[in-house]
Amino acid sequence: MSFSTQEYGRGVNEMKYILVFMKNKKAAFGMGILLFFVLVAIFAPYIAPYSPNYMGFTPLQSPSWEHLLGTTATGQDIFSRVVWGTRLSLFVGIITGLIATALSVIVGLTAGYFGGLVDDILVMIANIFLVIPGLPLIIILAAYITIKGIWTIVFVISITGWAWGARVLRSQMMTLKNRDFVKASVVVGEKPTHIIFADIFPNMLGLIVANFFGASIYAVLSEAGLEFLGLGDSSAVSWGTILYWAQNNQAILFGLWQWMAVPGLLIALLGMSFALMNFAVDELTNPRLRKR
Amino acid sequence: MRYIIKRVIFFVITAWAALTMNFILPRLMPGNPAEVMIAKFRGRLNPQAINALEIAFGINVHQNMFIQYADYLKRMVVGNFGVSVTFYPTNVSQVLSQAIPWTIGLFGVSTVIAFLLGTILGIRTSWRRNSASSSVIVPFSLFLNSMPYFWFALVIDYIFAFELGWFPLGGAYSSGGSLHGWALVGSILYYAILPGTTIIVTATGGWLLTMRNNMISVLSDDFVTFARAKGLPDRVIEYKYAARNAILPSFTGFAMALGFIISGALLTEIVFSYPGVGYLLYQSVLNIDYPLMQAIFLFITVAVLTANFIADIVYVFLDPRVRTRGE
Amino acid sequence: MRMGKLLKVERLNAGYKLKSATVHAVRDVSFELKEGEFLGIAGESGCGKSTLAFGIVRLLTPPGEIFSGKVEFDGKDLLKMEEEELRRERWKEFSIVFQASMNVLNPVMKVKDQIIDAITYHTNDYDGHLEERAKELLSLVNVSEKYLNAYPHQLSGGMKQRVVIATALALNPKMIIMDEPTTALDVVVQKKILQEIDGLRKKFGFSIIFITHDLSLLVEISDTIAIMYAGSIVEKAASKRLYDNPLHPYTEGLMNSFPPLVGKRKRLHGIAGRPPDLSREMNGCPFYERCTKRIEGVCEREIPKLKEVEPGHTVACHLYDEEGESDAD
Repeated sequence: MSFSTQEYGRGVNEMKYILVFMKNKKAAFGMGILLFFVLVAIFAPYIAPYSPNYMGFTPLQSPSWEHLLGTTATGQDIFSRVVWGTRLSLFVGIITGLIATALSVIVGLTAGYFGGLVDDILVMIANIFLVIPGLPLIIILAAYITIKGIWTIVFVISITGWAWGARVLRSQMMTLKNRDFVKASVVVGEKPTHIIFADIFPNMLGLIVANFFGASIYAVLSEAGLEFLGLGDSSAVSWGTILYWAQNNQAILFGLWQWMAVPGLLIALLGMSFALMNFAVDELTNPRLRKR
Repeated sequence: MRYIIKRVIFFVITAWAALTMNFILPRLMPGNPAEVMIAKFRGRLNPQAINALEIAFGINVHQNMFIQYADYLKRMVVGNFGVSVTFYPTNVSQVLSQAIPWTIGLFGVSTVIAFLLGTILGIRTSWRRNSASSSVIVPFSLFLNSMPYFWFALVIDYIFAFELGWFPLGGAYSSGGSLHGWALVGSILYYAILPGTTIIVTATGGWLLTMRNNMISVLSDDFVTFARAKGLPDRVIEYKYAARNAILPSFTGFAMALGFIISGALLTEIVFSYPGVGYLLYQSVLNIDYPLMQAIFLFITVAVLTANFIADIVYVFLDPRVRTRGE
Repeated sequence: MRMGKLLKVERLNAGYKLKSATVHAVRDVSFELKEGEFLGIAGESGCGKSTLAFGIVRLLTPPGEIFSGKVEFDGKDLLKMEEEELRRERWKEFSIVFQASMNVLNPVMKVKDQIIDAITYHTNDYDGHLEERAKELLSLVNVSEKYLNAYPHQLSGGMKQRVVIATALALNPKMIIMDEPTTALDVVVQKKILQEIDGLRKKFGFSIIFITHDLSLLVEISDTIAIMYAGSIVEKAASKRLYDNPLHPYTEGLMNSFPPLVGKRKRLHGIAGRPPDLSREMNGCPFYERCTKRIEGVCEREIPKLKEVEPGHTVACHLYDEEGESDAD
């Protein structure tokens, strides 16, 4: 006997979903990690022992009590850099995730709702962005844009990361559009904006949130990749730039593994926290995936 | 049939879009990359090369945009990508064609292995959902999937090459002394192990999770219950009924998955200085070698489109619903 | 042919264990099925009849499960059997036809392969003639043999259902359970398929448990009808007897809900109210809220048990309690 997928009705109780979400072990773990990073980012000035850019220490030291993670080739304290780097990595990841999700929502909902030629064109554009691999496109774009900086990175990653979500949201929109409660609104004569935002949107919240997490993972990893390649803003302090300088100064050959390992591990953890929450939202919206 | 035609059209349109993007982008970007590049290399390039660059980027040229575009398209189709700045005076096409086999070899083989491994593990972990192996493998895959590929490459390079010395630090084959025949093949394989492992380890997780989710969905479908009712053995239900249907979405999402894996492979090549297309891209970016960059971008796009197209064709054989018109 | 007992279900309890509650969909159900008998089980949506059908043959998947009870088929206890032995018994001894939903057939396998694999995994009897056997089965259900090589999406709803029935017959089982096999089909096709099913039964002698919400289908075709309400059987009798003399108020209500084709025009009555929530305990008769003949003080206090009121006619209702039987007051 199969269970049909959840019937979404009017008055979706968002509070209930949030509570169930928080009870889910995976989500709780993911949120815990994220919260930890947010706190570190906020309290960075208090947690980091030194300024991240100060170059006065003896370079290339191994970890010690004064320098928990050692020092860089230019005499900076790695631990402080890592702590301060949390701010930028988190910021870029979340902001880019939000922008990419916003783009996905706009394109996906428009295409799904209006159908016809608008839909065909938007889908074609989305497919093109989907097929062209992200990183090479990001690299090319970043290389062409001669103004280096954080917003370049945000722009470049958002532009390449919206297509998947748009497709997913479009499918969902098309399904919901045909549900009875939406047709009822149409018959009564509600304006499209009302129908989209009051009727359909609440039912898509779960999917949009899942989308956001997916986009954020993509953003965090892409930012790290870009910085690592030297295409970002090398003077900024983020986990990605730390990796860049570590690679450039051949940290491995000097045996300063922690210079490499720690930022990378943190990136992986941040990515994983989003992935866990994404997983949890997936389980919520698709009852079949839930543990019995 | 209709389906295939649609896919061909998509292929052509996307390729055209990529070409056009390649043409338009340098002309649109704030700051003029061409001028920057030319200024940088003014001393080193001879006038013809500079002229070629100027034409390629539409500076100081008296032809109008459309003629330039037509010219550009003509050259692209023929494979005339100009001269590489990094490897001056070698042709871009030459440089590229030397790197391509390495990437296809390393990347191609690793991806196939990752796909098979991930799919089979995905099937097995979906069947017994609460077993010990499932509760370990799934979070583990989740972690692998969120991890930056290049970081993993760095880590294993450090541990296995630097610390333990089991494998070489980088490169495609041993360069000291000239090797031939089987010795060369052996060396190539040996050098490919670490980068290959990186790609496999990081790519498997994605396939695994996708397949597992698809399987779990399919296993609650009516026809699976009917198969159980018929008293078919578990193995038969798992593969002929469930997996056979669950694998279909993997093909429709193939291009997307490929995109992620390519990004990972690119970065892996860079870490291991593996002389493939990824490493070439890195070098071209460092040297602001626009002709090379453009060519590589085009190559990657066309390669992904082709792989995607092949996946579409395979899909036709796997899913009878697109083969016949149905009702 | 022995007219013996083929199936004996004793006090079966089954349902679904959800996070929020446990739904008792099948409550203390007992009945017997003779060889060659056509038993119809009727009841409204949600009364537990599908759970009963799946429960009997152990096809419930979590969160569904069997809580307690005994199912004896041809002398063997189905609920206690080893998985592997049960798997071997399946389809040879009993088969099941699902609701005519879109998705009962594997979309990527040819029709003939889906009929054939039911055979090959159970017996070698037809080796070498598998395709012939498939043809034979399809002709039994009036489906042209050209559909052997077709895929499910190329068949209409009625044809798919016939293919499923043909598959169910493949190994000449002793019993076939049919769960709403005609519900999703149009009325004309419904009638035709019913007649085909009945014809096949007369020809091959298997028993049928036919589950439906449409009582009118059963009245002409079944030997026996059992009425299910809120997880229990509330009345059971030979179909003609049930039609002429329904004892339980619910059955009466059902009978009055569809018009006879011939005879005087009657006013139709529905049954007011809704079935009770099966995740709750019930202290009295589950039909109490909607019953027009209820006895205050008795019916809501004690759950009525199935009793034989006339030979071959059982009913669970306090209206038929003998003097002094009820434990209330």
